[in-house]
Amino acid sequence: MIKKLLVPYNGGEQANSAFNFALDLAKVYRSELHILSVIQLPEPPTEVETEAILESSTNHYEKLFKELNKKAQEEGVKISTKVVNGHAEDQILNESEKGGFDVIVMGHQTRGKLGKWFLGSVTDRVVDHAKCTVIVVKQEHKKS
Amino acid sequence: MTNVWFLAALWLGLALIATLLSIWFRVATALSEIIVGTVAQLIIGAVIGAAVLGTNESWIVFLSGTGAIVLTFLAGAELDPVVFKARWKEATVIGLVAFTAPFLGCAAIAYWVLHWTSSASWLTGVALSTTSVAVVYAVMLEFGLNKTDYGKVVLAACFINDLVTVIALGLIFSPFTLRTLIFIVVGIAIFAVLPWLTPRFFKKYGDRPSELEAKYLLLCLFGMGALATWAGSEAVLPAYIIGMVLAGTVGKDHILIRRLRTLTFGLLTPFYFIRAGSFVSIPALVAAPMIFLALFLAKMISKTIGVYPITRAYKYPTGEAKYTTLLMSTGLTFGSISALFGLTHGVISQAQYSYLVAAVIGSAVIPTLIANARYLPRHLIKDHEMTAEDLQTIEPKNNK
Repeated sequence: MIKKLLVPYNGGEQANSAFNFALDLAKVYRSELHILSVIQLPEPPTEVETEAILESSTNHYEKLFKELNKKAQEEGVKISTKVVNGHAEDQILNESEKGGFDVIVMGHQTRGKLGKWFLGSVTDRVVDHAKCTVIVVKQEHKKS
Repeated sequence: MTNVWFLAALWLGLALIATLLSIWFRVATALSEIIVGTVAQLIIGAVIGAAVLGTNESWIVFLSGTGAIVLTFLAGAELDPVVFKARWKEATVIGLVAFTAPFLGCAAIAYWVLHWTSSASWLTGVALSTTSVAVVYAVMLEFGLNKTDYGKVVLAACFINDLVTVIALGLIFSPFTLRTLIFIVVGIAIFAVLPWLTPRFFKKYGDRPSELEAKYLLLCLFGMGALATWAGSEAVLPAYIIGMVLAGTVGKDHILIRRLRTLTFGLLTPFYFIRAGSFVSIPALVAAPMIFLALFLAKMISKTIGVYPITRAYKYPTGEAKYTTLLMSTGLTFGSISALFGLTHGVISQAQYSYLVAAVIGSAVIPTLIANARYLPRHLIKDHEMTAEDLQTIEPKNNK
């Protein structure tokens, strides 16, 4: 039984596919669906810019969450949303353990080519370190 | 006039490149602007001539100076006055120690090891004594520590650290004369009146398309900046204090702050940071990299000596205490402002400026990288909940 689903969401195409996939799962299993967005600040964070990024990113995600909420309501699924800041993989793992999630559903690539080369893929790290099941949605998943 | 528009287009082009680089590499815009300024000066200087950038054109100097003033004001306005009022004693102790240890340590290294002049050594102490509020804030936020007593005290201490830095910058290098006294007396009167006057004035006349609030704030900043420079001090000193005293009123007006940020990041700070970068001499850095290393290590070691024992006094676990110490060793904005002050006031040479800026950049980037690589993964995630909750009740040993 899948009771709680966590979808890391950055607003990209792959994250939308992951959300659609998770929505299907939530419908079938009547699971709770939680959306987590992570604001990644530039390094090193500097005065004024940090606060500006936190504010604008939170607003950006809140707008996207409205769209997700609308989609979920149409499917009869209730979702909860949350925005945190920090390193994406750490925050996803932290949230999954803290919230006792059964499954993390995420897109295949959530970092640019350059970032992936320097730091590795967020998805790879989550798959490696998560204590729960991780479903990686590799291609476009439309609502069933 | 053609020359002005040509130069403006060139500088905004560089600013755009810096912004794109900051997006691609996920680095701070200020950092990428400094680096773009350095590289642009090197390339354009070698190919066409150093004068092409026009770094000393009066209007570029004005925009750059305004950038530093408004940025410093906004940084001061980020202070949380409620937290500060509640925990100002501990914050002041930590902030003073976090300033004094690197200030004396770095000045000593510059004077006795590098054999710099006494004023250049004091400036080195000031430039390398800063702490980045933003770095500490970001990490506190990441682990939910910003809501704990510990997080609040450390954050307030960072503001004190930077306040002492700008006071030192504003007062050490100016002779104490009647003008200084007038500046201090008028300053105190203005700082006392502004928190009372500003919200009432804005309530009566503000919130109109004529942007009265921005004009009023710029008048305060330019007016006090003029008084400070007349007294031989530095314009960022009153700007930071005005920001702090207005943090509870103007600082909470998100729409106004957003408009000021647009002006600052869109036009002013690119001129400031690109100009700051353009004065960095790569040949000087290549010729004597050990000087950079000595300054960088001086900052890291002296910050550690100052900050680490205090974090332990708060009964903070060893790993997290080291992590906090590393983060408090960062500081890009005020470090670069101090170094540029030294260069433009003839306190330090261009070579010394280059070493200082390199050390400031190093101190902003390297501790963050070490902290992330060594202390961030896994153990903090695992202990996160326990640490954040436990810290609610942790008091410093000397507070009992």
